[in-house]
Amino acid sequence: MDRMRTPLLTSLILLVSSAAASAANKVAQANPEPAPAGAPAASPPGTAAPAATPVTTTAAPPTTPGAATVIKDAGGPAPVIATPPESEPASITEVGLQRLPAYAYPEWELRGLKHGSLWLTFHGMQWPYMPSFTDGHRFVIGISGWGWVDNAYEKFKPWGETSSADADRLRYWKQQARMLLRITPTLALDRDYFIQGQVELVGTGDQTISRVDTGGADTDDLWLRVGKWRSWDLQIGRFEGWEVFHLGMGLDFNTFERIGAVGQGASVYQISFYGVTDNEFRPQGAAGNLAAHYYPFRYLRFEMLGTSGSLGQNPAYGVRPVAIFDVGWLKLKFATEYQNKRGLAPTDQTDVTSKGIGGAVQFVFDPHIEFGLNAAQGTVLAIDSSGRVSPTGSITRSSIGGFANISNANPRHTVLFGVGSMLTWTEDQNGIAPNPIDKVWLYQGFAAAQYVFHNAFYIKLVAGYSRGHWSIGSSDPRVEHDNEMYSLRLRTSFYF
Amino acid sequence: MRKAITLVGLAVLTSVALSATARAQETASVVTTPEPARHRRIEVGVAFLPMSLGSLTQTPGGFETTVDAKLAPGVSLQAGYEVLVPNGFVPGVVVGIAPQVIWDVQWKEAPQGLDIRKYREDDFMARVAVGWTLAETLRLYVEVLPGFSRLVPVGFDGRNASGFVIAGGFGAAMDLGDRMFANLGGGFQKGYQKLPSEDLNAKNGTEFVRITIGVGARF
Repeated sequence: MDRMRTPLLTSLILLVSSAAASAANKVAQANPEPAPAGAPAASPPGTAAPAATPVTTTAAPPTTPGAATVIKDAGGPAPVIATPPESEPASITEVGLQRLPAYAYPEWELRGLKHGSLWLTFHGMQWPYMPSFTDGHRFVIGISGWGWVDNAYEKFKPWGETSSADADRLRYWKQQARMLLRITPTLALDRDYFIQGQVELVGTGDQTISRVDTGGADTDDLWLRVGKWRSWDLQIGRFEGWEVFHLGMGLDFNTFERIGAVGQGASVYQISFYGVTDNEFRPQGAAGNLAAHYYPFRYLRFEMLGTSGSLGQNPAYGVRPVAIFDVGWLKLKFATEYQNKRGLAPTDQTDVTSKGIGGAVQFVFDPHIEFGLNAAQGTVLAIDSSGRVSPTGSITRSSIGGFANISNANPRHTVLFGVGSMLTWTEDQNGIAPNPIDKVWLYQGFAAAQYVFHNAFYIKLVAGYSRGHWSIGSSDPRVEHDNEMYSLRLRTSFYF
Repeated sequence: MRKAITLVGLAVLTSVALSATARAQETASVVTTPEPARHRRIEVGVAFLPMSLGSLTQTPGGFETTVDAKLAPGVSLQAGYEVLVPNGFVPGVVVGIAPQVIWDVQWKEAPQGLDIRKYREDDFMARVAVGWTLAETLRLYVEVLPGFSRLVPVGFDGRNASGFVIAGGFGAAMDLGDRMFANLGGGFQKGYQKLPSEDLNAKNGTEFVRITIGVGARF
C-alpha cells in the first residue's frame, strides 16, 4: 500500500508545483516590466547589455501567515493573484539580478587599447556604473568578477660577497589561482543619485601558504558608496585608491616578477617598488578607507582618500589625494601621500612616518599603441619601540619606470605585446664611516604576449627579469652582492 | 563695427560648414571598389635583444673556465625577402640577414685570482624564418640564424676571438596596419669563438637565451 501511495503523492506534488510554476510564468509574462525595473529599458548605443533576470522572492519570513501571495486556481486556465490588503506590508519584492553589462564599465574617455592593461584600469571613473534609466528607483544586484590561474617558473642566481648566496640559489615552480566574485547591490534613487555597496568574494588557489601572503583574506573589496553619477561620491570600507603608477602587462599582483630579485637572504634590506603605494592598496588588518571623489569635468577627477585603523598591530592613519587629467589619448596622474603608524602600548614609542609624491603620464594612440612613464619618490622615518631612529628602517625610496603595449586591433583575434621596465633604489641611514649608508637598487623588466578569446578569456605569457644590487655600508670594507631572477609565467584569466 | 565682424565671421563659418557638408556628400556619393592589398615581400626590422641566462667561457692560463654571464643588451637589424608566400597550410619562408651587436658580455663574478674582462660581441648572421598564418594579422614563426661571430675586448688589451655562431628560436609577429609589424620571440644562441693561433686557439665562447622584441615594416 505504501508503495502505491508514494508514487501517487509524488505525482500530486509534481502536478501542484508545475501548476504553480506555470502560473508564475504567466504572471511574469503579464508584467514584463516589473517595478522597480530589473534592467534598463534600452541600453545605451554600443553596449551589449544582457537582460536582467528578475527574481521574485518573498520578503516576509515564510512562517508569517498571510504575508505570502496567494495564487488562486493555480492549475486552472486563468490563475488569479490575490493581492494582500493594502494595510498589510508588501509581500513581494522584485530584485534585479544582473550580470554587469558593458555600460557598467564606464569609458568617459578612451581607457586604453581594448583588452590592454590600461583598458582594464578605470582611471578614477565611477564603476560599476548602474544608474536608473527612468526617474524612479531601481534596485539591482550586479554580478561580475574574474579569475586567473598562473603557472610560473622562477630562478634566482645570486652572486657576490654574501653568505646567503647559496641559500638564495633557488628555483620555484608554482601554480597559483584566484577567483573573485563581485557582488554589487545598487539602489539608484533616480537617474543621478545612487547608493551602492560591493563585496568581492575571493577564492585562493595556493593552499600551502598563508592567505595573507597571497594578497588578502576572503574578500578584496568591501565598501559602501553614496553619490551622484559623474559628479561626486563618498566611499567607505575596504578598497583600493586610484592607481597612479601603471606597470603594464606584467608585474601583476601576487606574482614572482612583481617581487623581483629579492631572495630570502635580503630580509634585512628589503626593497620593492614605490609608486605612491603606501595608502593605495587595500589595507591589511583592521583598517579601512574613507574617500571623497569629485568629478568637475569628464576629463578631470579628484580623490581624497583617508585611511585609519590598525595596520598590523599599530594604530595608523593616512591620507592620499590623487588628481587625474584624462582626455583619452593623454592621461596625467598625480598623487601624494602621508601615513603614520604608532605603537600600541603607552610605553611603545614606535613612530613610523612615510611620505611620498609621484606622477605618471600615459599616451594612447588607438588602436595600436599605448605607453607611459611613471616616477615617484618617498621617505620613511622609523622610530623604534625604544624611541631610537631605526637606521635600516629609515629610507629614501625612488622608482621610475615605463611600459608600452601594442595591439593588432583585430576584433576576433586580439593579440597584444607588452614590455615594461622599472628601477627602484633606496638609501637608508645605516652604516659606519667611511660607508655612511646602505644603498640598494632593484631593476624589474618583462615582455608579455596576450591573446584574447571571445572577449572574456585571456591567455598571457610573461617573461620577467630582475636584478637587485645590495651595497651594505655597515661593514668596512663595504659589502656588495647581487641577485638575479628569471621568471616565466603563463596566466589564463576569465573576466565575467 | 563689432556687428560687421560678427556677420563676416558667421558668413565664413557657414561657408566652411557648408563646404564641409558638400565634401561629405561628394565622398558618400562615390562608390569605390577596394583594391586587394598588395602582398609585400620585403621586410626590414629592428629588434632589442636582452641576452639572458648566458655563460662565457674563457681560458685564462690554459684552464678553460665557464662562468655565468651578466644579462647583456643587444640590438639586431633584420632584412629579408619572402621567397615562399604562405598559402593555406603552406608556410611562408623569409630569407635574409640579421646582423647584431651585444654589449657588456662579461662574467658575473670572477673566480678567485682572476679579473673580469668585458667584451662586445658582433654577430654577422643570416636568417631563415618559416612562418604560419594563424589568423588575420597574426603569424607564428620559427627561425634559424647561422653566422660568424667575433668577441672584441673592451677596456683591456687583447685579440679578438672569432668563430661560428648559430641561433634558433620561435616567436609571433602581428601586423600593425598594412605595412608595420611587431614581433616577440625567444630562443637560444651558441657561439664557438676561439682566440687566434697566437693565443693557441684558446676557447672564448658565449651562449645565451635570446629574447627578441622587435618592430619592422614590409615593402
